[in-house]
Amino acid sequence: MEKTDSVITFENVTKNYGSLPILNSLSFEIREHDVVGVLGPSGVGKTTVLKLIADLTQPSSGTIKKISGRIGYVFQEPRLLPWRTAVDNVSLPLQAMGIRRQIARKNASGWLSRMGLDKFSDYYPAHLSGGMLQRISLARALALQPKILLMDEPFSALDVRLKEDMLSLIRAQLSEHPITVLYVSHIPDEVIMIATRIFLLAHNGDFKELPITDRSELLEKLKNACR
Amino acid sequence: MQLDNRLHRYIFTTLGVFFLLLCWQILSITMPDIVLASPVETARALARMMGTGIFWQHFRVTGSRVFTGVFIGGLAGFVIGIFGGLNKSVKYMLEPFRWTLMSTPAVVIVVMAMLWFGMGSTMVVFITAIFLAPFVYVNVVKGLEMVDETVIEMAQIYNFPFSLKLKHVYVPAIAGHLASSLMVIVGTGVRIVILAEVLGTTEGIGYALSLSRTNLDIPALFAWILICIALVGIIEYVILKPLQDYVLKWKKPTR
Repeated sequence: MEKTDSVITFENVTKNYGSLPILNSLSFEIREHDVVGVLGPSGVGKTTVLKLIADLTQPSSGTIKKISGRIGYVFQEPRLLPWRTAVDNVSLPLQAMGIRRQIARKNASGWLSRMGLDKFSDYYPAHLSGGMLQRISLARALALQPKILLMDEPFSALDVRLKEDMLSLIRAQLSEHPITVLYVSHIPDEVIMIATRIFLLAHNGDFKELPITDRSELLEKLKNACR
Repeated sequence: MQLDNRLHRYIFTTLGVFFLLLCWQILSITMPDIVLASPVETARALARMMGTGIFWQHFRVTGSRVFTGVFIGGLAGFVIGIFGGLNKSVKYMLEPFRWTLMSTPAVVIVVMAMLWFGMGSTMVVFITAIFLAPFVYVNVVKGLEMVDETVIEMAQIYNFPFSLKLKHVYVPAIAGHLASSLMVIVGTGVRIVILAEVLGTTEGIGYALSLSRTNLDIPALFAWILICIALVGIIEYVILKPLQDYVLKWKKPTR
């Protein structure tokens, strides 16, 4: 697929929380269907980058340009409504878009089925495992058919096997329906599995894009950087 | 053999009832008839009363006053609580009203309501609603303040309109608070209705109670007290408990 249009552009974006500087004059451009891995140690502002894109917070200075369209967000914790069933959790954002309840639920059931959760549609979150909840969260984000998918350390609480399964699932989804993805993590192995571009954020506000050439060499470099 | 939880509860609750009746019986033997009727005398009086039309008339009048007062007070508290819980300015503006209503002695409101509305159902329902609304309001506001911020953020990202947020985020999030405040206001509602009826009506359980006292019909007086307790019990266990179980079913563990 040809990559042309700029989907997200950060121009000298600075973000402070009170007197604490988080992002310092950050500039980058993300093109359509890029799968960007944002890496860096904890506390460097990776989540803040996603929050800025999702309009959950505003920059202290600088400009953020992004195309209009739906945004899917997979959080570190699933953030499901505990009092609604799996199918309701996936269908509610669709209903928020104006899709009729019955159609939204049918669509949601389809996505749950793709995630291997068709038998658990009517279960409440409290009755499901952590991996299942995160798959529901992913189904909720993908069901919207978003222009941009933001993923904030989505599988950090899962075991290695489940994490690999989830990453394979995402890769399969992206090859079927390519979208622009920002995948934030402090674990290089995860990011390198799906990313087509890799950004590295450091504590001193340093930001750079690392070319993906030799993956094993890059992995070592990233592991050192994320320590 | 370990007893099933439910069976365990029934056995010990029944034992508790028998113990209460025993204490009542012992007290009634040691005290004069004019002070305390025995459980047997009370049961006889209750059976006699239940065979008359006027008993059911009083019961129906009080029941409808409790229902109307609790419904109006609960609904007002809920709606105003939603506004107060979601908007700090509204909450601060309503604070003096809440404080005034919750700290004014009950008897003052009863006297004022009797002046404004005269005797009868309007006065009783007004007093009940005005007493209960602040309790529900406080519970709704507190509940909304405790809603998980991360869930609200999720609803914001997925552009939930207000109606969807209210139905699927806010109301279910405060359902536990609402259910427990309903339990409290029903019990309180019955007490207020009876008090108001004693002071200013010509029908209802409160009026019948005051009539029994005037006639020194102590067994009838105790029979009416039993009816008051039964009324709260029926509403709590037949309506509110199943309702609470239904709205909180998502919390129940699977087998």
